[in-house]
Amino acid sequence: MRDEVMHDPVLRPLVETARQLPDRNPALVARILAATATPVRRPWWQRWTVPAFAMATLAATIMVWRREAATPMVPAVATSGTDSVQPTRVAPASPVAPVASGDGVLPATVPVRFAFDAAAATTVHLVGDFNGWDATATPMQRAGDGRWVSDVALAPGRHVYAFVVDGTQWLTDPHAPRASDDDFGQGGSVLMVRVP
Amino acid sequence: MDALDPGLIARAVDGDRQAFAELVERLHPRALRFAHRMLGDSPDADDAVQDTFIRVWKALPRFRVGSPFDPWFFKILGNRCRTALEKRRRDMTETLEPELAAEAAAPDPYQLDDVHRVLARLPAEQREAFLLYHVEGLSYEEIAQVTGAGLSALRMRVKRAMDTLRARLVEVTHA
Repeated sequence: MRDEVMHDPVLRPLVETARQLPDRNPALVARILAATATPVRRPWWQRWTVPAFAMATLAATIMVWRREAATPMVPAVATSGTDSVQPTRVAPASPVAPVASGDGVLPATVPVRFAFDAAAATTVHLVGDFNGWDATATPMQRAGDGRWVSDVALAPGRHVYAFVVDGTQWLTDPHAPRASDDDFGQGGSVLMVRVP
Repeated sequence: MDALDPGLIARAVDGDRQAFAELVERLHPRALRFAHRMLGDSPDADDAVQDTFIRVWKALPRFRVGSPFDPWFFKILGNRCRTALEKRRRDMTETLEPELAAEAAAPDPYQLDDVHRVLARLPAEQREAFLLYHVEGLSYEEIAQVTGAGLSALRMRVKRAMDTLRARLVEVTHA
């Protein structure tokens, strides 16, 4: 119990009562376990085996390299400058690189460029469901004029992401839809990566 | 309550059903305590706890192992409680809590129903901050992660809650 309540003759008995834990509720536990009996579909980076992931990454790399020879990656969309930290996600407006398989086009990953205007920042990291929300896994690089960029290969589908400035400040993207499942973590923005 | 074993959390994050079941077993009394203090002793509180654990199960793969579990968990639970309160308000089903009856008040220790009645008279934001700080034992920094509010605002909420509770309890004691 905290000191300011410990020595308060009025509040102390109230807090003591409020801190009483209720009895365990087996019926509630049973309902919870029944409702969660279906396995959660793990994120793709947890589901894929190393060989499959390695093969897909290799294929994507080769394909992106071949396409870039003919079609350079579209540069980041210009954003308004600002003195403050201002995140800007640059959607993969185009360079969407399908991965070729023997039977035709089979998209495994799509290169996406994220850009972020943060002139005052010392470090900026990209975090999202694609890197386990690891605030150190994907550092962004300075690209001049206060802009930070990062190119990431993402699987088609819905992704939630955010930016971490100087290791502490989590920022969502004001130009992207806000994830409805904010209460799962620090909040994030939604990016839909589509198959070309 | 003992702190949760980080290994247990890590196994649950990894999809271990047995670990998740143990997590529910160990954590649900504490979750019920918070929900009952927030919502009163009502079916809404049980529903909020059940919904919280379902969301926790779905969200565990995104939990960063090694980071504090309490703020993450109470953020989800707090959101469920706020949603339940909002639904009550929308549905206009929330009945005014009865005046704390003088004859029911002020025994030492208080009865749990009395505590719920007194807490129910606080604004939800103050009630949440007070419970997280004085009952659940979270720090202001952790409560900031739960609620999204600033530290000074949280300190003010807790102080106002304490002032209101103290005044109310003194009032009914001398009624």
